[in-house]
Amino acid sequence: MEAGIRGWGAYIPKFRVSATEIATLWGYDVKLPKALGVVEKAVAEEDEDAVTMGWYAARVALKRAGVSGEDIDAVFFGTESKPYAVKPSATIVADALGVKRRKLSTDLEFACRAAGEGIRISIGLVKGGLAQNTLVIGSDTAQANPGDLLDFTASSGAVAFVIGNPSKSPAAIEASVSYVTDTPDFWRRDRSPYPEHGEIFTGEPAYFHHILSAAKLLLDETGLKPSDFDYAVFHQPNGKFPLQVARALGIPQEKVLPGLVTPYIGNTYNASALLGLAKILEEAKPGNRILVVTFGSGAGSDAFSIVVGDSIYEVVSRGPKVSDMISSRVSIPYGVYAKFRGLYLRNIGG
Amino acid sequence: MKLSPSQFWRIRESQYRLIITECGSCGRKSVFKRSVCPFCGSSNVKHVESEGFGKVLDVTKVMYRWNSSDERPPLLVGVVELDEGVRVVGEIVGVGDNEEVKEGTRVEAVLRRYASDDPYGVIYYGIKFKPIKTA
Amino acid sequence: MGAYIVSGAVVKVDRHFERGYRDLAYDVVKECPDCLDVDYVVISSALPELTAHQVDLSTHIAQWLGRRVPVVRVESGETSGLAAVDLAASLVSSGRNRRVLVLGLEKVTDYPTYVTNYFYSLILDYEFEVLRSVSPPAYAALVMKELMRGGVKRECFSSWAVKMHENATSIPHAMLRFKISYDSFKDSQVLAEPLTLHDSFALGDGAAALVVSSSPNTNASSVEIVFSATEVGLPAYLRENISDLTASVKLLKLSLERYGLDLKKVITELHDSYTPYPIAILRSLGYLDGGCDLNEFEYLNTSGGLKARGHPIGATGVYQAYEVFKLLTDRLGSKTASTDYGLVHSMSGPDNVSRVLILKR
Repeated sequence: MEAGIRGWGAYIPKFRVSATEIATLWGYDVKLPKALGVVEKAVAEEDEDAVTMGWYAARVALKRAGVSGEDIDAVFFGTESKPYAVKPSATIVADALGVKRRKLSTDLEFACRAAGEGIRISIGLVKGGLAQNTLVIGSDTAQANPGDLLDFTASSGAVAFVIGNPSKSPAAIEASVSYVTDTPDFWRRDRSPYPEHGEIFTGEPAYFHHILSAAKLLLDETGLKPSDFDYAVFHQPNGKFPLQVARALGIPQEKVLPGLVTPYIGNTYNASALLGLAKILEEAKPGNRILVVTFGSGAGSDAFSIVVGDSIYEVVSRGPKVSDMISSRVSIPYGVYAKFRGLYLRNIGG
Repeated sequence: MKLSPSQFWRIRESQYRLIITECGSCGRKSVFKRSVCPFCGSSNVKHVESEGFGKVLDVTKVMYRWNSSDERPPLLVGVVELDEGVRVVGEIVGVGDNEEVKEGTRVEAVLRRYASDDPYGVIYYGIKFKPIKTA
Repeated sequence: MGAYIVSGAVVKVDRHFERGYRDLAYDVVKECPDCLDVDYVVISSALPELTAHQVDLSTHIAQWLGRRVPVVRVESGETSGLAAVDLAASLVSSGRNRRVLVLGLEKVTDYPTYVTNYFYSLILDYEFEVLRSVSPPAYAALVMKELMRGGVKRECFSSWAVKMHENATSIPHAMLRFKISYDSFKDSQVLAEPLTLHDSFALGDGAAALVVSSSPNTNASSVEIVFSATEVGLPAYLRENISDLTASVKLLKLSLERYGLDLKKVITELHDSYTPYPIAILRSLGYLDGGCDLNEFEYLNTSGGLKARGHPIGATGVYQAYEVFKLLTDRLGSKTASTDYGLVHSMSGPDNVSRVLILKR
């Protein structure tokens, strides 16, 4: 065992804008959302950002883990929608949660997989004895150029994990591996408000190549077979890619669907796959094995094999569940979405 | 620069967390980290952190326009009684147009933005309240 | 040695776009020939740093008026005016000064209303109320809701506003000199449910002057300041009942008892920034028990109050004191009164601080 997930928490804003409305507004065929596998996406309110959502998820993660801020030795904040371009988000969340001052604390950026890398860094810290517990947060108020294809999926959400001693954890990370290349499939330049992407180029050479490579590395190193896993969760930029990548790995759809959240809430970027993992942890039984593979453009993937322990039910009960956050929803029109996310050109600073 | 970095930094503990001041002299409790009890003036105080749950005592929907860049009316502003028996005033967020917040609504503390010195200045974060979905 | 109000003047509360702080000071002093025959000036004003970018306003006003007498500014939110009168009374009754000019000044129309609303809202605790999106009308709405839960009808608050507008029609210096009807509340914009624009004070620029002297005038044209007191309340969010305006009620009760006065008979100017406040205070004092008949008060806010005369924030207390002084000694607009006592009440925010002044003919 490398390390364990001692606790986790999630946050999904309750407001949703429908993909059909986005299609109608921007002149797409209303059949497009179905092709993308998205029904609607979660929208954060005006006073929310990656920090506030990450704080909520982290607060629940600490509660589930049964630890206080005093027990956390490192805080990693994975995001591509930092409220400050320069100034860590991690320190804000850490102070707001009462995390002690003697700690590591930094923001990580690797498109949608920074939080996944944060977990791998944490495994190293815990195994190496530099930290007893770390807090890893993945949180994004994802940006999309209004009217771009990304507008159908770019949503808001957060997830957080307390990584620590596997013997104290309801879920143990038995193996993990990362696979990274330089692939410009999606990016956002400095001073640019919205990301650009290579559209079809984001698929085969980017998403599929990295996820499949990381997954195969993990299987090779552990000797595990796809059939050894009870659940599989992959980064989910839309509702279709995860099912396609599962098929390529020979993993049946029913093992993927429990962790597939993007159709209902959109792509939460750094939360995405890990939010799916949180949902699976809330539904899994002791002894279940979960395959998790993240993906971040640029590009890279982290693959994890996670085994659920006996204390899972008790730990689940200590916090709000992802499935409840998905079903607790309020529809808003695109105009309110635009107001919430600051898409109107307004005079500010007056 | 319209928002001071240090003014908020100084008081961030009381803004980021629900700190309760308990008076050892009069026995009364008040919100925020205070060195003096606001009821009796005693310095014999200690501080504890609220669990962050409570109920709405009263709430009003505010359309008064009183700011510019941070303006996002309508706002719900209410008085919340924390489970620790302490009152605090603040904004209630996460409420849809057709949802009702009223006396007795259960709420939990959430971290939100208070103010943002756009486009270049600091961001203030602090505690607001969000209704808890009770099935 | 006592303290007497011996002279005074006001300008109309209005949107004086062509007049700044120093112009308003000049305008009001011009109307009051003996206002500059003083050995000290106390200026009351709440917002000049915010609305006019001016620190040390009082010195600049003195220089502009060409009178290099000692001067100081008093600021205590919405009660600044009465705080200044209180200071002036102390200066003359202690023997330190002979005649003190109290000059209430405020400019509130140099920015769009939403900006001024923000400046005004800073009478609340910036760090723990304003940053939390709590504004003065939010508190007033919560007070109104609590009173309504206690059985007060919506019409009661409306009746205050209707009465104030009616009173103001005979006051030349009032800002809103027109009547409103109960019906008008139906279409009045909501500030904070259920509080509407018609429940709110009128925001206007203003200037008011009073001379406080250690000795009365030889004729009957002066009044004695027999009582001046201040009480600080608890922050509203800490109160058991938010509509308990304890500081105001305590001071008013004390002064009524001490001088054997009845609000139904005595000249009274109550701070009515928002209609729930005077209703809450009157009820706590034992009035309006069986309903909401404001006509049983003979001289209640003859001026039209903050509601209709207007509320030039830091100058308002000086207006109130001037109005009571005029009613006691002469006439206010077309109104006269035949009582010996007059009472002025001012408070800031939802009773954060309260001040009461009693004047005797």
